[in-house]
Amino acid sequence: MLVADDDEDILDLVVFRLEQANYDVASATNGAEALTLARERIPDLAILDVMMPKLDGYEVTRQIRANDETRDMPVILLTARVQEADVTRGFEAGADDYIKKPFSPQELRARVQSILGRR
Amino acid sequence: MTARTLRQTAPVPPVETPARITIVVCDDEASTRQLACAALAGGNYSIIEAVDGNEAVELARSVRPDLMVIDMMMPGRNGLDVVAELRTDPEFADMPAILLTAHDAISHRDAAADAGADRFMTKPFSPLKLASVVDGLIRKRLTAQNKRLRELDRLKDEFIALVSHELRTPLTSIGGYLELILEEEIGGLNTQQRRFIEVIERNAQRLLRLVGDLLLVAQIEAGKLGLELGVVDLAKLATEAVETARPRADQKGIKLSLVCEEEAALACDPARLAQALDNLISNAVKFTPQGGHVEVRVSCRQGRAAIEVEDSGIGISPAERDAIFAPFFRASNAVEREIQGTGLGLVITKAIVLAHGGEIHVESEEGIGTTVRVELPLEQNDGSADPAAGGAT
Repeated sequence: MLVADDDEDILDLVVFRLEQANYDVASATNGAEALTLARERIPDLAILDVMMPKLDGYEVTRQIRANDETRDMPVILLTARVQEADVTRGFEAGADDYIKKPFSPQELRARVQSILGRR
Repeated sequence: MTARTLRQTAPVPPVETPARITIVVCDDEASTRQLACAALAGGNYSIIEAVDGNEAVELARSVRPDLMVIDMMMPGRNGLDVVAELRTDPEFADMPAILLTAHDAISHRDAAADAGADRFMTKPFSPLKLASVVDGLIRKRLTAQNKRLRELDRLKDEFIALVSHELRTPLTSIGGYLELILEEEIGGLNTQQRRFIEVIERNAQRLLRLVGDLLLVAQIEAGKLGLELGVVDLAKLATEAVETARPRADQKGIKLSLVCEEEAALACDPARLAQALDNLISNAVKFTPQGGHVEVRVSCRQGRAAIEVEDSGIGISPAERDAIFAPFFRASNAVEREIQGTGLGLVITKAIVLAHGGEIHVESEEGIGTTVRVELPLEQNDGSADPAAGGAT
């Protein structure tokens, strides 16, 4: 599993919660790093913060979709922006789901499981 | 003395009277003043006369007029001095000024322009001409003011959205880590540690709610409140809202009851509608004194759902009845009693109700209680423009 967020406190929190649920987690603090990890490790799921320096979450999602090897990787966007336009933009970029900050660990786990179970 | 006491004790209610356009007419000759006033009488302006330059400056500083018509040649402080002096104050930098003079000399025109006058008219002037020049300058001024206000309003919305976002991110961390500690994943807590951390958590939640409300109000004001439609059982929604408010009601010894006729499927944005109901019920509990009652009634008739929240609270005075839906408005009796609040709950509630194509009505009697009635269509015509109706119309 890949998690990317430029806010390291939130990154650590998400990683902790996912490791707690027995997932193997790789983490990145910016979009470029996330994209490299996505291509190298081909994780089963990527959780990406929308607002990141260099490449934002939308752009990383778009590039994951544009690459043959990562095309089918499920992507969940993590966003503190809750306006409808932002959500629409996420889906247009090819995201499978989104989680609004702040999120509960239960919600995180439920969204991850539902996406992984769907495959 | 009475005026002074009044000024000190009167609260600051929102002034609802629309500001009239104010014009100062200054000339040492009464006949010219009368002629100018008569010329402008048809314009629905509030006109104030000044007999000399000193009075004109004094009046300008106290009433902040939208325009000034002033004689150039007056004993003492003349029109040029007045305009030149007012122009040094940023407050009057763009107040239109019309200078009147008996001599149409180039030197006078130049002097008028140098002092910062917008127009120059020779006496005797045509009343129609004066009226049309004034109307034109006022129109220009209002257009510029409107543009500036719209710009400020947009900046305010952007500011609120940005601040809300910047606050939400650290709050996500605070809440997330507190939750971890409270789950005792990283070690046990003693009773006191748990109690203290719960206090932090409760306040973080409160801050988060406030930020959420601010963000929502910014969206509402920008006309961008979107709905995520689903279908819920209205009875279940109401029951949950009542149970959310139950602990607070119990604390105050308030009898909180729900009267629900039957199950009814309601097409709506479940999270938003729950928020609207929570707001109404928590308001009712908040404004009801110890030992009172709050009753929530839900019914359906002819394709419409009605939700009524009745309390035996402090009520709202008739004078403030309309203001309660304005952002940040706090009723004076709530402020007096130091009842906490932001004045955002009802704004949000009304916008949510309107976005669903519904209506909201308030009946209230001070000291007796308040009933808020919300009516909603059971079905949403999806695809049609309905949700957009929640904008700042």
